[in-house]
Order: sequence, then structure tokens, then C-alpha cells
Amino acid sequence: MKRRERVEELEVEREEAPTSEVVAAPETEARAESEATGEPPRAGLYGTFWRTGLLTALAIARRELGSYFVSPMAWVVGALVILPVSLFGYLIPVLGQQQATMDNVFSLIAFLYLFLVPLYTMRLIAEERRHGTLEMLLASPVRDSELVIGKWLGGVVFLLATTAFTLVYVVLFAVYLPDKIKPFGLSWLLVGNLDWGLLISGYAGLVLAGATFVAIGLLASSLTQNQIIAAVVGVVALILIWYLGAFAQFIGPPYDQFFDYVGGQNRYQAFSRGQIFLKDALYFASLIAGSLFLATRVIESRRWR
Amino acid sequence: MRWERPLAVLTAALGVVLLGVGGAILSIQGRLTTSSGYPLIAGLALLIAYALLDPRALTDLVRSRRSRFGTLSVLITALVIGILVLANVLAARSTQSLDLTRFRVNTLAPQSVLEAQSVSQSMDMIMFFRRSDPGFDDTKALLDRFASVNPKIRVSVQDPFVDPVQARQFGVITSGTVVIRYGGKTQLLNSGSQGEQDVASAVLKLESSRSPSVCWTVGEGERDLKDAAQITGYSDAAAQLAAENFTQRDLLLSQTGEIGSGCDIVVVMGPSKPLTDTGAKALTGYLDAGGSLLLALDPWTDPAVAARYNDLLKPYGLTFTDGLVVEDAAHSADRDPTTPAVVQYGASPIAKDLANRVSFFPLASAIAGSGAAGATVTRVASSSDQSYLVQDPRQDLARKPADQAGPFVLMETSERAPGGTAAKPSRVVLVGTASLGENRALEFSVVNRQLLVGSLDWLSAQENLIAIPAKPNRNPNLALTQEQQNLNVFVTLLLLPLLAGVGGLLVWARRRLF
Repeated sequence: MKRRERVEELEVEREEAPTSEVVAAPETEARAESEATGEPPRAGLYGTFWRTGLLTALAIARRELGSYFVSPMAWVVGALVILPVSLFGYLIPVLGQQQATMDNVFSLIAFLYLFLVPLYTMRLIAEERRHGTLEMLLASPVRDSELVIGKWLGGVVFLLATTAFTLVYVVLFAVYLPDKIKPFGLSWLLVGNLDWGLLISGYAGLVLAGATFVAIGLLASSLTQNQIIAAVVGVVALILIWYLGAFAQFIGPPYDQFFDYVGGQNRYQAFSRGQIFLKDALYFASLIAGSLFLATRVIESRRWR
Repeated sequence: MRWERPLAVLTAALGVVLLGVGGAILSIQGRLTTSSGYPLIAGLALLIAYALLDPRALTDLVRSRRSRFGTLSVLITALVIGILVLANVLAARSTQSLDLTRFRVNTLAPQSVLEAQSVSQSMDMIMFFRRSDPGFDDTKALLDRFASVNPKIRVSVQDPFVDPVQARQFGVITSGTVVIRYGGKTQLLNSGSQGEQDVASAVLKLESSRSPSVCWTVGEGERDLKDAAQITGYSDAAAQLAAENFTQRDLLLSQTGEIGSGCDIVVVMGPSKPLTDTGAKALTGYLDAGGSLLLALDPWTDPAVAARYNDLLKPYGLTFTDGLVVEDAAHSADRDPTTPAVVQYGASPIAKDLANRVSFFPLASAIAGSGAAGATVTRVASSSDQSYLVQDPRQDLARKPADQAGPFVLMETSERAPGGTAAKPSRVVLVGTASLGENRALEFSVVNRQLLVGSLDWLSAQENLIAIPAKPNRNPNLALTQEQQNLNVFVTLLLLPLLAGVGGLLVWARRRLF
């Protein structure tokens, strides 16, 4: 127990340090021990959960998240994002049309993600390479996939945290459009007379698109040790994937259907209309899985190259 | 030997790319064709060439540890990517979705679903849109919903500026038009008329074997459908009618004793000569039998012309005043007071989607009358309250005390209940100008186009083939006071960024001071 506390202290103290310096989490040490002895280290539900490697990934994610929030730059960038989203995504459409709409907020944030996410993710793997700590990680009992998933999770949670300010808009709508409901016959509850399904769908799209962008940014970061190159590759890849559907109108059938499908923006739009298509969800899930898998293979390739 | 290895690698890479391209085309087309077969064969040939150019590479695959790992890694990667691609290929064909909106605004009405299901041949819904056009996303989503019901319906998007010739072929003049093509027939949906009911009605019209016939009168100085003059011609209108699935034929009214049932609609567009007795008798008999008439008269025509047609309109309780409607500068096109720019529309189905949209009525006269017994009169378009009527021809159009003050009705409909031998009501559409559908007007105004086509739809009783109740707006309306608006600005534009900035400052201070 004391060792765990010590490790957590180290994590707080060395938040700016690469992940390799904090991977000595109890879970990973226990795994190393179990692998050395050849005996199963844990039993029951916790053991099953532990063997999936999720605990290690969560530890890495927690550390990544911490390193994001201790950077003043992240807060400044966050403040700069709020301004255009509030002005062009919320105030102008809502006050101009007098409608409680989040359509512009969702589309503007997705557009800003194209440029911001690669800036957030450029350091994830590239920094480890530049510091030469990736080799230490590869030699540690942390699996490559755990490292990749952990860093991805950290990036996604940070991205969602920076988007949480949009909930203030929802609260404002709820205040201006009050509605009384009586849940399960209990006393009256004052909530907003909003289309909650529409909002849930919009946020689901935002989460999926954001998670996809982080995964692609992570893949770009795994390809090089230069963070600038990683950011540029990430931005170019995201813009290409997002706007690929625009080529459909210049190409005749049946190939226009291909471009129409692979364009990320086309797959995103239905979410903001309150409709979740199976193909849209699968498209984003595939991009996430594919990007994380490729990032894992790129890191793994250093073992045999 | 030094160049062989890089060449072999290049050959192998090119081979893999060609195989990928061939595989992708194969999966899109769903069958092996020349466009997928050639890349596949070329890719395979290049891989064989790679083996011949660098045979040691093949033996290395088995012997060298690095090559073994590399090959295995590439194979696993290809397998995983292949599985993901396959899953997407299968999912792309699925239409499964979850409509989370409260009023199910993303779900087609049962009537629309039935209509889409009944499509038995290939139907193309072509959006002549630029992606930046307003309403693009909503229209695309709506058409996709129809396509998801029946795989025979296919939606595509074309930029009218990339291939203007094709757009013209379909009668498309502005971006933002939907063309539905089915069995050699077409229907055009202009912007503002692209709701679920409009699409379902268009599908129904295309599926029916009926092509309403328009009999265009000639011989009395009327506008001619074959006239291609850039300004006053009617050739664009002819193309539009053809695109909307109307059949056209000329009707020499002065020599026609009887207008038979072969004419679903009779159009008299701006005659300059008085109606002959024969023609008047034929038209009266046609209308009494439940016929439909589109009649446009220009102002300041020969009084005898207006008188003959006004006689014809007595059972409908409407008359042409024969005076010229003059507008002020704020309500006229290009500051020409004789071309009213109309934004006021009535409850007629012809103008159902035209709220706040501008149409032009060059050199228009006013229509008067409140309808006779048994006739229902509905206003379509009217001038502003700043307009005035110049009853008799004069050079100086400045307002004079004797001029009657507006607003004036410029376009109106009247429906007479069936009587006598008529089995159906008789309908007339009166327009105060024959310039409503001339080439110049149609080129500059989609709304004029909609008024012309909408009139013919109404006259042929095609205006409301399907009644689908309108769905509520997806986004609820707000009514914010000035104080609430100020609070919104304060919270979202000042407080939120300020809080984020303070957070950054605290983090910076913590790092620097502690």
C-alpha cells in the first residue's frame, strides 16, 4: 500500500516527465512478478479486470491527464476556444434566430478539433521518442497496447474536459425554457423544456469525433520523434479524412458513394440532427480501432526493426 | 545489381497499391469488371516481378528473424485493417438508425414510407447543390431517408457550376434544386419546396402514368413557348414545363369550336387581340365543364381585349382592372417602379413555401373582385401598400391624387363549384402580367418559376396529392428579453473565458511559486 502511495506521489511530482518514469505502477510490477514466477497474481473479478491491462492503461491515462492540466498553455488555448464557440456557435445563431439550437456549437467545435487535437496529441509518443524513454517503456512490463490506449484515453478525457464548457449553454437554454415534470409520481421537478434526445445525440457525435481525432493524432505522433511534424501530419490527415466526402460531387457514380461514405463530416452530421446511424457509429469506431492498432504496431516495430 | 533492390521494393509497393485499388473498386461495384480487374492483374504481375527481381527477399522472409517478424506484422495489420474495411462495407449498406429527437423529426411519415416502397424502377434523386448552399444538409438527409426505405432510390449530389450543361438539360437554373428522375420523366423541386410532402408528392406524380396536358393558345398575339428571345421569350418556361412532366401543345382558339378533355389546362398568356366569338364560346364551354385556365393580361391593353376576358370571368367574380401597378423604390426591382418586387403572398397552395421570398411582376395590372356566388377566391400575390394604380396610359408615372392607392392583387385564383354537367370544379389562375414567366424573369427568380409551375400544378389538381402533417421545429423558439440577452453575452463571452484564464494563471502560479 505504501508503495502505491509512493508511486502516486512520484506521479504528482513528475507530471511533466515522460510516461516511462511512472509506469512502475503496482499493477505492472505485480505483473512482472507474476510473469517471473509463472503464477497467476490475482483471482476473482479484480484479477480478470487486472489481466485485461485496463488498470495499467488507466494509470497511464491518469498521468497523461495530469500532465495536460498542469500546463498553463492548455488553459489559455481553452480560453481561446471558448471565445469563437461562444460568439459564432452560440450567441449569433441563438440571439439572431431566437432558437435554442446547439447545431452551430457542435459543428464549430468539430472544426476547431481538426486543428487543436493534433496540437494536444503531438507530444504523446513523439516526446517519449525524443527523450529516448520509449525504449525504457518497451523494456518495462507495460504492453504496447496498454501504453497506446492509456495515452489515447488521457487525450480523450482531456478533450472532453475542454468541451465541458458547452454545457453552460444547455443550462442557459434550460433556464429560459423551463418545464415542470413529475418523475415517477414524485414531487414536481423543474427542468428545461429541451429536446434532450437531440442534445444527447449531438454530444455522442462530438465524443466519437473527438475520440477519433485523438486516435489519429496519436498515430501521427507515433510515426516521428519531431512534434511539429507529428502535428502537421495529424492536421493534414484529419482535414483529408473530414472533407474527403466533398470529392463525391466531382466524381460520377458509383465511386461518389465511396467518397460520400468515407468523408468524416458526412458521418458526423446525422448526430447533430438527433439521429444515430449504425454505419456512422461503426465508421468512427473503426477509425479509432484502426488508428490505435496501427500506433501499437508502429511502436512494436521498434522491437524487430 | 545496386539498382535492382530499390526497383524491386518500388515494384512491390506499387503492386500492393494496385491490389488495394482493385479490391476497393471490386467492393464498391460488387462484381468483377474491367475497372477492378485490370488493377488486380497489374498488381499481381508487379508482385511476381518483385519476386523475379529480388528472389533473395523471398528466402529472407523465411530465414531472417527480422523479415519473419516484419512479414507477420504486415500480415496481421493487413488482416485487421481488412476486417475493419469489410465491417464498414457491410455497414455502409445498412440503414439502421436511432431517431432520438422528441418529435421524431428524422423519421418519415407512414405515407412517405409507403410511397417510397412502391417505387418499382430505378429512381435518381439528384441534388444540384453546392455544399455551402443553405438547406443542403437537411435536404440531403431527407432524400437519404427516402433512399433508405427502398434501394431502388439513389441520391447523388452534383455541383451545377462544375457541369452547367447537364444542369441545364434538367432545367436547373440555380444551385439548390433537386431533380427526381424516374422512367424517363423528371420532377424539379426548387429551394423552399423541398420538404417531405413535396418529395413524396413528386414521387407520386412520377409513379403515376398521368402527364397533364397544357394547351397553349396561339393566334391572338399571345406569348409563344417557342420564342427564345432573351427577355420576352417563353422558351425557358417551355423547358421547365417539359422538365415538370407536362405535355404541351398549341391551341388555335379562334378556330376551335370546342376544347375537349385532351386539355387538362388552357393557358392564355398575354393576348393582344380581342377574343373571337368562337374562342369565347369554346372557352366558356370548357370552363363550364370543369376546365382549368391560366390567364395573364398585361396592363393598358386594348380595352376590348380586357372586356372580352372579363366577361368570361364573370362566373368567378374577378376582373382585370387594366391599369398599371406602380411601386415605390423600396418595393420594386432594380429601382424600376413598374416592376413590383413582391414579398406578400396569400393562403393559396401555389404560394405555400414562398414566405419572405421575392418574386417579380414586371408591368403588372391589378385584379379586382371578391368572387361570385359559388366561387372561392384566394389571393396568391399582392403589391405593397405603397403602390398605386395608373389607370390610363401616360408618360409621367409619378403619383397623382387621382391614382388609386394599393395594395393590389397581382395574382389570384378562383375555384367554381361543379354545376350542371361538370363533374369537377373549374379552376382559374389570373395573373396581372404576361411577363411573369418570360425568360428574363425565370432566369433571375426561382420564385417566379415556382409560381408558374405551382399554378399549373394547382390547375391540374396536383398540388396536394399527399397530405403530411408538418413536424414541429427541431429547435424550440426562444423569446429572450434584452436583459437576458445581455446576461448571455456576459456569461458566454466574458465569464467563461475569464474562468479558463484564471485557471491557467493558478496553474502557472502553482508551478512557479510552489
